[in-house]
Amino acid sequence: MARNWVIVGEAGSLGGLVKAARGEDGVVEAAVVGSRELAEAVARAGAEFVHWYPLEEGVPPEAVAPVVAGDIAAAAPRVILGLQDAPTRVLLAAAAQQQGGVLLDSLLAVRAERDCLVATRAALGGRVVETVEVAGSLAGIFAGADVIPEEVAAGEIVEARTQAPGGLATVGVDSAGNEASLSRAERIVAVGLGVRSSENLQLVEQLAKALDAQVACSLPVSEELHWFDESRVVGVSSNTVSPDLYLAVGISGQPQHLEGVRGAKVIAAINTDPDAPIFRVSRYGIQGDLAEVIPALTAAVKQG
Amino acid sequence: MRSVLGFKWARDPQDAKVDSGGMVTWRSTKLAVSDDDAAAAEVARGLGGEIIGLTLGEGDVAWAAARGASSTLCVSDTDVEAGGSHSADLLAAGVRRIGGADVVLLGDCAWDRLVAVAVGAKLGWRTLAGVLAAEEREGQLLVSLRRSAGVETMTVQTPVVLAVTARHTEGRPPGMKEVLAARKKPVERVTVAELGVAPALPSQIRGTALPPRPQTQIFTGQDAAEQLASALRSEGVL
Repeated sequence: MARNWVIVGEAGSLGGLVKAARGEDGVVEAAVVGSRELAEAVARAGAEFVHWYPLEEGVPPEAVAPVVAGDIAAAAPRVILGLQDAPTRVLLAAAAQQQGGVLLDSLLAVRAERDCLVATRAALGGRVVETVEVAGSLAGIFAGADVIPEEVAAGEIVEARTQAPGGLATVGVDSAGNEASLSRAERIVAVGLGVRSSENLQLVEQLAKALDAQVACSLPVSEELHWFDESRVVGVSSNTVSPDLYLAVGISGQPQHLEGVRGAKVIAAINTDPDAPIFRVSRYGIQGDLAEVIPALTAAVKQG
Repeated sequence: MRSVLGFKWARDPQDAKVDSGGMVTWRSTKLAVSDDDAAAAEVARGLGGEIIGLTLGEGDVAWAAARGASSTLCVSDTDVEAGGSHSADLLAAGVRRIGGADVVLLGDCAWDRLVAVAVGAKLGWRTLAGVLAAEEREGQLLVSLRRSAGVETMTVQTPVVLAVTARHTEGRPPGMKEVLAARKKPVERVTVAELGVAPALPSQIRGTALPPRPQTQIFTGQDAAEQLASALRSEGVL
């Protein structure tokens, strides 16, 4: 039975992460760096055994990367998975270095075959699914869909030693920006260049209010139109989001934008172009002029 | 402060063509510069001191020199098919060849989000990703990073690897005068063998396929908005 590991440095798609690490019949151990609440969330997500690395005030997760990597290397797992947030990637790379495995981004699933691992990953910004054969071990970023964990007993949590080597300290956090509210938003209405005018933008903002949604935008709307600052940009190099609803209005769907909404539960799109790439990843869509569609949708939402 | 600025070490997915069967062909065999590389260059210039460029493959080896680097090390015979782990091996070996640095700056490249952090792990240095800015103040390196809770500021002891995230496209690319001057700056070319890097770990691409398309339900007609609202209610997301 495979005994694979996950590394968690921030909250995210924990159900999907643990399920991917388990594979068909494996056991999942987790290294969780941060709060007790985060460790409990990973245990509830289905990890059988959680090694919890609490952090002292002002110590960031990256500071304990060598300690965590050493502990995981001692267990010699064939597979180590983590999410894409920055601290987790640092922890993952440190563990992979000690494990000696191949690093792969955007993993969707991993399975063991007789003498190798077979991984599927979203390559080229999600344009293709690549199947990769790995002879040894691997460590990678899980980028598949989240799942709601099955109702099972939460895994055991054991506090691990966390003597940080030093040399790294958090001295301040500015959470005044809007990034946090986007990352936690349940509903997001995002606008692209297809919105065209500030009059149409007002219509979108009225819809967002009716939906109790945050308003976000694509990169060109911030860079070219300056309607929003960068904290409102959704995309892989800006804000990655995972709302229940992501409604894209006038957004064509460039790969870097779509990477940022991969975690959304339901994507819906409104666009005049029937061939817009955003429709390829959307569950629902309306092809039409947003000046007509948006007021009608606002009214329909309010009626509900 | 001595900085190594890594650039042009990944392939741009936009250079790939995908056919209707999911087969991938590349229009270019060259590695590409990303927006994150430009952001890393901006941070390097802000830190001041000596900057040394480090790049993989051929193509524009003077890119960093046009942005403040005094010289550049180029690993000329890079296998562009070898994958991110191998690229990180080469970049880490390049840093050692240069003779180390206080700070290694790399784009926290969306094309492969593990390479920059892997360079830090291979060097055994402190590593931070999602970096937005860095400055030296009173002998300390202050680094701002993007976190889910906001922008965090940290003090970090050098040597450190910083994976820098672009907030926008390059604001003021170098002009012709700077580009021409950059081409006169020294470039050292080394081979993978000269760096003593082992061949890439065995991983093999079995194939590629188009991703499964979600069944997109497109609503049309006068009541399209009502139909969409109804569908979203059924999904439990309204």
